[in-house]
This record gives sequence, C-alpha cells and structure tokens, in this order.
Amino acid sequence: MGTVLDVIGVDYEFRSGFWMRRKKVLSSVSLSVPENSVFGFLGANGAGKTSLIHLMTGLRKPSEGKVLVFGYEAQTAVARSKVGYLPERPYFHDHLTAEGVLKYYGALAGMSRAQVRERIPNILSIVGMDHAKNVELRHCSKGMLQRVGIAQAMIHHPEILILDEPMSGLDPIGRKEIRELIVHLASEGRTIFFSSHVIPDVESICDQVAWIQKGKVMGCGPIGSFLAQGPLRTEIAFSGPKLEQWSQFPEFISIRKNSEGLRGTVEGQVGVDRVLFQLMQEKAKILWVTPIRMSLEDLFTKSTEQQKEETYDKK
Amino acid sequence: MIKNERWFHSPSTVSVARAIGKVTFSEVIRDKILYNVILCAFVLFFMGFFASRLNFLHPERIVLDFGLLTVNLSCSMIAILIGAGLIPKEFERRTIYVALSRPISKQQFVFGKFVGLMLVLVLNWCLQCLSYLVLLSLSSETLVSGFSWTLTWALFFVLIQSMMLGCIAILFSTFTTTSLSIVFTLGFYLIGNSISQLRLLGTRLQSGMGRAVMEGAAAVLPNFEHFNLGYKVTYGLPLERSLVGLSTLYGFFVIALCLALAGLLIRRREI
Repeated sequence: MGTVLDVIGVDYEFRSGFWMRRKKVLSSVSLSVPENSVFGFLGANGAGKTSLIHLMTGLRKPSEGKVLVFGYEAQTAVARSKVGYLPERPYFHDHLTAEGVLKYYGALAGMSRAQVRERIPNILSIVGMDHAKNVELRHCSKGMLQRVGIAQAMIHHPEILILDEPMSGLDPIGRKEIRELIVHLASEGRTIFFSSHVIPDVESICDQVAWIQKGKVMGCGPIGSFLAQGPLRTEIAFSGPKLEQWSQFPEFISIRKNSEGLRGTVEGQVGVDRVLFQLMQEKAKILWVTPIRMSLEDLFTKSTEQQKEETYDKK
Repeated sequence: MIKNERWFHSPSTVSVARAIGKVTFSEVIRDKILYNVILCAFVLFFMGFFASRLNFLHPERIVLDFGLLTVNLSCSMIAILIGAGLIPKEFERRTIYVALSRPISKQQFVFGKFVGLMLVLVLNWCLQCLSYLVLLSLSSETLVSGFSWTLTWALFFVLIQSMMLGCIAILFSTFTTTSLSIVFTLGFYLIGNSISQLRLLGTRLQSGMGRAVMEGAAAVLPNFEHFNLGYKVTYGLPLERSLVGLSTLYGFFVIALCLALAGLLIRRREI
C-alpha cells in the first residue's frame, strides 16, 4: 500500500513574546499515512497536533524537514488541491448559509460554478445537512457546523481529508454521528487523517495511529500492533453449582461475584484452556469469554508516565 | 470507491477575487460601522442644507461645499474603519485557515478582500452621490448652476481617494492591529491632505536635515491634495484634462503599490 502523506524529519519552531524568542513545537517528527487508511493522531492539548496539521495543509512551513502530499511539498498548489481540511474550531463567515459556504470554498478550490452547483446537493446529503442548506451558520448548532466543516473539506473531491479534532465540543450523540460519518467516508475509499485527544474515538474507528507528546512522535503504526502489546488476559464469566470452589482455583489471577455467577480473569492461553476444560468437566454454564487487551489509553498513559519519570530523573 | 474527479489547476486570480470579494461584501454590508457612518453622512447633508437656508448670497455654494465634504468624509471613514479590520478579523476568527488551505496564494486573498471593500465603497459612493444630487436639486436652481464636470470629477476623485485609503488600511493591517491600522491610516489621510503645508514647513525650517526630512516625507507620502477639488467645485472653476489623467494614474499607482506591499508583508506573516 502506498503512502499519501509523508512527514520526514520535521522540526517546527515559531517566534513568540515581546522579544520574539524561538519556541520549538515539533522535533524530528516523521510519519507516513498509508492510502485508504483512517489515521488517528493522538496527543494531549498543546502536544503539537495542530501545528503538525498546519504543516500538512501547507498553512505553515517546517523549519527543518519535509512534508509531502502525494510526493508534492505541502505548500504547493497541487498538494493543497488534494487535501480537504477541517480546522479545530470550524469558524466560517456566520452570515453565510451552508450552501454559501460550499460555493465559497468550492470556488477557492478552483471549481467552476457549474461543478459546485452540481456537487452541493450530493455533499450536503452525505453529511446530513440537506435539510438545512439555507440556514445561516449563526443559527446552526455546533454539530451542524462540524458537518458543514466536513462538507467544505470534501467539496473538491480531495484525496485526503485532514480533520483537526472533529469531535471536540460535541455531545455524545454528536460524537457518534461524526464518528459514523468518518467511517462512512472511509468506506468510500478516502484517506482520513484526524487528530483527537479522546482515545476511545481513535480506538473505535482508526486502523493506523500515531501519538505525539511534547512535539515528538512517541509511536506510529497499525493500531493492532499497539493493541497486541502487553500480556494477554481473558475474562471468563460462568455460573453453575459449587461456585465457592473456584475462588481457590490457581489459574485465576482475580475473581469476583456478580448477579449471574462469577467473573474471573485468567492470564495466557494455557490458563484459558485449563479453566475452560475444568468448567466443562464441572458442567458449569459459561456466560462469556472476553480477551482483555491493553487499550490505547493504557499505552498512552503508560508512555506519558514514563516520560514524566524521565524528565524527573534528569532534573 | 470515490470518483477521482480532480481540479489540479489553481483557481485564477479573477475567480478567487470574485469569490472572496462577494463574501467580504456580503459581510461588510451587515456591519454596524457602515450604517453609523452613513447615518452621520445624512446628518451632515441636512446640516449643510439647513445652513444654506440661512445664507442669502450664495446658498448653493454651501450645499456644494458641505455636500462634497460629506461624501468625502463618509467614503474615507468607511474605507479606513472597514479596511483596517478586514484582514485582522480573518485571523481572529480563523476563517483565513480554511481559505488558505485551498490552492490560493495569500496575495490573491488580500486582493479578494480589497475587491470586497471596493464594492462596498462603490455602493456607498453611489448612495452618497445620489443623496448629494437630490439635495442639490432640492436647493432651488442650484442643481443647474452647481452641477458641472468639475463636480463629476471631484466625486470620481473621492472614490479613488477612498480606494487608496482602503488599500493603505489593508496594508497596515497586514502587520499590525486594527486600531493601530486605523490610527496610521487616519494619520496618512490628514498628512496626505496637507502635503503643500508640509512642503511649506520644510522651506521655513532652518536646519537642512529638517528640510530634507519634510521634503522626503512630502515626496513619499500619498498626496491626497491631487484629489481635492472642493475649491474648484465651489467656485465653478474649470479643470485641466492633464490633471484628471495624472491624478487618476497616480491614484491607481498608489493602490497597486499598497496591494503589492500588503501581499509581500502577509506572505511573511505567521498564521
């Protein structure tokens, strides 16, 4: 599978304050976004996610290194014509309607009026805004604005969508809807790169993931390779006679009662085999067997803690 | 799979200017500043009209002079107050982010904003000129005696001058805040209307250095005196064709220069 976006050894610094001192925001960042993938970009607030996205969309220039979109430098017009971008806070001219916004950004993308006119009904129906195309944006809810934002990002048929915190500030239903929309867009064959600091959002829809901490990429790759890390544990729930005897069974590393029976955690494949064999011998009713894998959240938290310890040691 | 219809070509400057200009125009005509300035202009128009009623000798001269001053002030204030806020507002509200993520340059963006401002200025200018002419016709016999080619060119020059001021305000706003841009442009407006006074001051200065500074400033700063035909309009004096042509060319040169400089400065500005 080819890559559509490559960040190669990027450093980025900007000047701030009265004396215009240089502040390094990104340090030796490298990552590649494979074609047709949903790429989740994780990081805490202030980690450098938006700065990297600005480099990817050609809004800023890296101090060192390169950002390539389909092999073109991100700042070139060709690269920018292939990217659809939704900023973190999608503020548009609030006197415009959804249709007006799409006409505006379509024209800026180089589309003719006829092309824009033809595309608008289709794109509004994809994002579920066809009923509100003539509503001024000042009267739209945050979820509606987010949908308009995604629509403007897609108006010119970009080959990669870069969404900066597309689910921030939304209620649970809004988050779910945007998540479903991203999955739908990905199913149509688009490459989607989106940043978030909410790990379950990334975990649920991404197939590639990278996380950034204090301007450095801490990990990058297929989500499965991260989730497979750590010891394999399995939760086995069962009910039946002689429940008391199971608390003494050595394979369980923890066990507790619930309303239906017992729930125990077993480590390793061998342990699972033994417990299941024994349960079947005893004619217990097995309620569920669920593998417990290390979540991205665990990995992320672990990595953050490790870095904090390293910083503390250095001090 | 998605259909890969592609628009690899960058949009032309004309289509970018049209799109940005249209959005800017529709945004500015909702701005309260615009209506406040227009309201003030109408108040001034009527003050001039009533002042002319108190004069027995040449009431038409008062209407002519006061009216032209009102059109001038209204157009200039709109250019300065609105022009200075166009670019900073885009940064503050972050609407510039999405626009510049499209295959357009920052210079095209600035030009588009200027086109939007120009449309507003033309609209306001038409409205003010119409009110002015109605007022002239209301002051009996004055429309016939007051209306002349000099007045037509004077009104045209007001429009050119307001466009120049709009460009200067946009230029300042590319590297400083809205309020400072307003202050700087107002300064340029006041000095630009007193260039001959600046030259006179230079000749009266003892120090050679001071004289050189005054002369340099008079040469470099935009000279709005070229566009001030108030005296000629009031007294119905004729206008030389060469002055009209040269002043118009000068106005367009300043506009082009300011836009080019604004484009250069915004290229360097960090988003």
